[in-house]
Amino acid sequence: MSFVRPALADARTEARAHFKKGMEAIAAGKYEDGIAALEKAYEILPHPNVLYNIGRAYAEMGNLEKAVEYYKRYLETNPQDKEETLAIVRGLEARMKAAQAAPPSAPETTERPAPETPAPETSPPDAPAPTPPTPTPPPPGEIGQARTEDVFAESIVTASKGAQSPLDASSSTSVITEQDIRLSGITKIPELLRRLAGIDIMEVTGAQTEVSIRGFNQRLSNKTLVLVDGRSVYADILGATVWQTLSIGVEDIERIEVVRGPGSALYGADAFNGVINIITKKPGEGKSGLAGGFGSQATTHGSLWASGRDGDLSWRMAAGYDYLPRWSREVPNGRADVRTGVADQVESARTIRLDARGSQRLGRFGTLNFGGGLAQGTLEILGQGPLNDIVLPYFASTDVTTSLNTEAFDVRVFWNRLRADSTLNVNYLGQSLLPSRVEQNIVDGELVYKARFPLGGERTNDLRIGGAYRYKDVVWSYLDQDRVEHHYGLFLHDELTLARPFAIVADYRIDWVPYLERFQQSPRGAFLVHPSKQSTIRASVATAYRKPSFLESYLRLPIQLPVTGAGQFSEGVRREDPSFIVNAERILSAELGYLNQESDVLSFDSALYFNRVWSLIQLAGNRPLTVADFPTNGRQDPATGLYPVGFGGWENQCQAYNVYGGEIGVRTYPVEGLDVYGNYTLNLVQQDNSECTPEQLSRIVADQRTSRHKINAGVQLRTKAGIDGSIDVHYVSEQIWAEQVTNFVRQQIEQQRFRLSDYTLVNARVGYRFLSNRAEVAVMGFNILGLEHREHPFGQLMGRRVMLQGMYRF
Amino acid sequence: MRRFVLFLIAVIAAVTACGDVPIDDQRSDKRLFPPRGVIRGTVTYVGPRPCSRNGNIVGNAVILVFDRRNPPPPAGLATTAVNFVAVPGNVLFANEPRTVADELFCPPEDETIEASAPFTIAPVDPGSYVIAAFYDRRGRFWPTFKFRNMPEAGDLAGGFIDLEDARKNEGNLAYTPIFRPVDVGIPQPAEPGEIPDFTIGPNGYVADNIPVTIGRVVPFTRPYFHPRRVDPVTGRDADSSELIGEPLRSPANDEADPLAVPILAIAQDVQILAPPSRPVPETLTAYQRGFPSLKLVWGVARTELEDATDPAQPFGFQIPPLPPRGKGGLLVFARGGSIPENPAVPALWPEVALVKLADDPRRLASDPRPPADPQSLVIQGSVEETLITGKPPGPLVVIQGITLFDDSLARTIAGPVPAAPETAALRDHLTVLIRPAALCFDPRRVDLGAVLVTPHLRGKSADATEGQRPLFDLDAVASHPRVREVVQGCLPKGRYAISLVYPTGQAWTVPNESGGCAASEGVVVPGDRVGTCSIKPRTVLLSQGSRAVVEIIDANDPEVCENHPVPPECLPP
Repeated sequence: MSFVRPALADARTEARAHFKKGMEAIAAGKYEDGIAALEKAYEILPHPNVLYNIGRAYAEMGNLEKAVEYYKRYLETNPQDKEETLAIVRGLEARMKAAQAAPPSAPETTERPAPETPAPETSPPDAPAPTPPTPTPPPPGEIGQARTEDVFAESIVTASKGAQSPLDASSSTSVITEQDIRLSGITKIPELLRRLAGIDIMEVTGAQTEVSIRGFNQRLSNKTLVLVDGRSVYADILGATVWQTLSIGVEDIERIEVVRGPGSALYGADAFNGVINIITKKPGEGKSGLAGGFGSQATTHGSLWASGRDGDLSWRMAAGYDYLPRWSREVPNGRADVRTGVADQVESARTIRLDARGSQRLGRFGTLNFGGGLAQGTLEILGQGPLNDIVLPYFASTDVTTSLNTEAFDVRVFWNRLRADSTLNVNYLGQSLLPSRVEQNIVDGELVYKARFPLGGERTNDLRIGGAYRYKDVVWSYLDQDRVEHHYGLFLHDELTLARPFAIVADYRIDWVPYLERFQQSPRGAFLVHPSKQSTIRASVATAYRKPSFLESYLRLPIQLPVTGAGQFSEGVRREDPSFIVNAERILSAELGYLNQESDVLSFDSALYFNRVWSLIQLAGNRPLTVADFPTNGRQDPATGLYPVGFGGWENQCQAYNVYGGEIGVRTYPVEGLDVYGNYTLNLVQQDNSECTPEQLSRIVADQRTSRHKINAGVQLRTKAGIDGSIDVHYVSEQIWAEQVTNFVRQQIEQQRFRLSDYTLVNARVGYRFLSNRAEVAVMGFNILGLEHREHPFGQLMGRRVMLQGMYRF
Repeated sequence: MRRFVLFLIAVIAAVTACGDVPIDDQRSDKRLFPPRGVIRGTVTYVGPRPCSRNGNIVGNAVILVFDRRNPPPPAGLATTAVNFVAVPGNVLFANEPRTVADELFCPPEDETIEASAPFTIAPVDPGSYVIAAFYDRRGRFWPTFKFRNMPEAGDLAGGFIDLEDARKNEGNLAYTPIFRPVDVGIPQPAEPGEIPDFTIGPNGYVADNIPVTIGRVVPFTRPYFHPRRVDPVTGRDADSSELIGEPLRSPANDEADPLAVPILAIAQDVQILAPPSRPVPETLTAYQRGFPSLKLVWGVARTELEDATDPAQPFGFQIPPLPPRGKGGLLVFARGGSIPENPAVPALWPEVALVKLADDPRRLASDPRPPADPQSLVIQGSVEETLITGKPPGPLVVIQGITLFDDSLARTIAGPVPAAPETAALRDHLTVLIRPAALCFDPRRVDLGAVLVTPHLRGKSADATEGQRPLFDLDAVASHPRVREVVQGCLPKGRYAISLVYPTGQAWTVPNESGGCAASEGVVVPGDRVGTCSIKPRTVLLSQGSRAVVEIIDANDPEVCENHPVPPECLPP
């Protein structure tokens, strides 16, 4: 196994180990060893501080030329301390000039200045002889302070709206790293999350993957808040994340942070059962490049990106193209009795992406970030109820985002816009395809004040206070009228370190929800104990809510029935009862977690939780038309010509759910070049129907949509010869979905049980790096065993797909 | 080696990069669209310029699809279409001028225009269909409710009909058009004269270019009525459907709900007199009195008239506020021919049919739940029956009445009876004799005819001088197209709705939605003039309510039904 690199596997951990080793060696005066270790760390995972420390080590050992070289490379990263470093460089260059100007001299006998840490070992001169003049190592004060902070330590920002170690987080967290992304070969962002414990991934069409956390996944999953660099991409119209509307590709992602459990205390509505934050690569960092792939059923993926700096200005631009075919078709060719919303019944999505971001250093005023993105194309979505299978022949999603980060304040404003045309994928001739046009404009602003108060001794208080405003403007054919909402929120996050090893984290947020016409409160509290420096026991209690989406709040849609002239009129605002509202979905969660990152070769994470979930929103039962409806909503719809026979809409479920679950995960690096992970998820649901009336009970069944058992395991291998491999195995146990369907005989919407067999999904990739790691080719296989399965009872039948991929960086 | 690996990779990618994806035919939600039928064509309107209001053309071309095996009255018994579509007037008359005023404006009817628009009806099961159509000139069509789901006077009717025959009968107000069949699918082998089964291939089936013509003005209103019971001895009205009934218990009204007491109860072994061999006024009177009978009075109860005709209310019945004295809106005229069982008795319009309602188990006192069908609307044999009984639909059971002219069988036979629906035919009520026989149809194959069940084949003659005689000419009845077999047996017990049918297909049925409250509207709260609903208050016309039924009750002589039980063809599964 001589080709295996003498290193551990996970890049961050590997780089971290080298960094630690290098800094220790330098502190011990073993400069060569230390520099070599730091260079390895930098090679694995570049970080400017490493360059600085290498330069400083060279300076300490007297190699001023190399020192200047590394300091200059550090300066190329446009650091905050540019002026100070320039002064160091100028000082070193002056010393070099002075040394060159001096005549040759006898070997130096004066002692080198001692390093800041114990002196390095020096060999006694064997044969003193005249030598060319060498610069004198500068005193420590002239080469700056060593950057000893653990720059490769795992850090997350999503759990508290500030950088922190997962060990200090009040929730269970996980991170998908850039390496995980690259080695997996996966090109769909939500698929990247499948490897994590407690995450429910459901690919229902070729382009639609739904993500939920700790259960309650559904078509158009609406209980997980997805952020891109802290910007919510939640589509308020549907109450879901439409991943294809993101303007980024997998190549643009630095890492993905996942916070499990209710997050409304920090993020307000919709962070119901967790938050996913996609952190993109920073402007000016990394190389430029291009990547592409082509495979089964003409699946295509392409990306190119460029990054650069000009003084204090950094920028990054990216573009991409994706073509995703359906897994299976609804309609064969030649059907005379149906018509389709789009001609191409193979395409599931076709998107182009453009993304441009920049940042401008403003000195002591902080950093200004700005940018925008566009995703445009077509998409197929399995929705709910009559919108079971819809296609968007056209969508365009744009954002303009800006933020200012100072020492005390973070200010962020963004504008998200989504425009789309939609139609049913297929319907019988004479039946409406329910064409619609939607435009959603969201303007979201947030101001956060950050302060850290020492309380004496080890006690500190880390405080964040923020205010948020969200403007929503939705114009949609499916709504009763154009709708505008103004949401306001105030939140507080306080981390109080009492005395090691104890800490308390408290969150509280209050939101004004205009549809509900009330304030919604979301508290969260956690108590942390650190049995050791790198381990945490965490106990937390949290609540969250999901407000009704625009569709659920203001729907007005006549839905054609199999009887051509008749319709079921779905209404959010009930004309016969305008005061009716659908309440927010609610969750109360208690969690006990343990995280151990003590070892360099193994990390362990576990959590036990109890969730009480109630008031879930579902399609309302049919309210048959009565004679009394004549004055309000009983008449023919003038736009469609349909006559109402009944009314639908939305309602809160009478049933509640007690969920008992747990996650346990291990990631280890047992031998060099090898990274192994495994995790297990348990989810037990007890359905509580005690609040249901006999009539409601007649329409519901037991719901076991979340698998009781899920197992994920995988191996990543990187070799010195450039061959990389990864294999991920996912096992999902049987599910029994309670899906609402229309029973035309009973003339009602009722739940029916749909069994979904357990399935195993194996994905693998083999790649080869060459041209000094600048180029790479790979074969990626999704479901390589070809085990046909569905991930939702109504989902498409998934088979095997293979893709040939290539990447080049410059 | 490296080149080989790259080559292999490229080959794998090329092989798997097939462009198409498979058809999914295993989906558990049955969301795949199975091949179905489509009826597509053009509807052509020939008639006066349409009415308009608020910048919109008022009304729709309503195209109704009926199973040819069970067409709508008078040829069949279908009460609801299997499918329909409404082509809005704004589409049909896209280029017609219209008023922007709030008030309804109807141009003078002296000018005839023609307008066409395409229509499509889907999905349709394989089968053979007939298409009826009308233009709802006043925009009053409301398909969900029996009281507004048919054409009214002034509307224009038509369908996919024999236009040549229709032209020949122009001016015949009682004309029944000949509907042409629309076959959807591929016909399967069948007995001669039978309507075959049809199948649809994997690509679906489109019955295309179906021309639907609308052009015949509907000359009269629907036969609005409410039932009364007449004392057979005194001849006076003994009860009326708008009155609160005595809380009498009956098998189908086990709770003795006073609002569900039938206006007429008939024992399932009802015995009538046999027709006299000497039909003189005395014997005919005796014969007539042997029948259970109903008096069907034009319109609604007097106190309900204002609400029933108020256009601001949902009913909008076309009942003139001041009918000519002694006249009503019921047209009683000759159908041509005689009743099947007696060639001496001419058949008259309107046809009277009692159609059995679904047995509502919640009307039993032992069931604490409110009635599942509080308005007595659901016909046995219909798809909705399952909602009431929880069982598959039972047979379609019909008891036919004999329409009398001026309340007298003797007058009916003696005549003269108006031959057409003219002014002389107008009556403010009619008397109908209830035949002691029921036709039991398989609801899926009404075209095959019914089992006719009658508790007795012979009876005492209406002529006291005669003894036992046959109740009817068995051969004549058995040869009737709607009868495939005559069986002696008791009548199926239960509640029966009452329908009047005109040759134009216009009909009126009680009970209907105007007379009761749906479950979500609450229960009926009777008032001085009209009733209301307890949850969603609105006018309730009690004369059209759940008392307006005939109930077949237990036999007077149980031995009759023991010897001749109700045949299985007449019983729910």
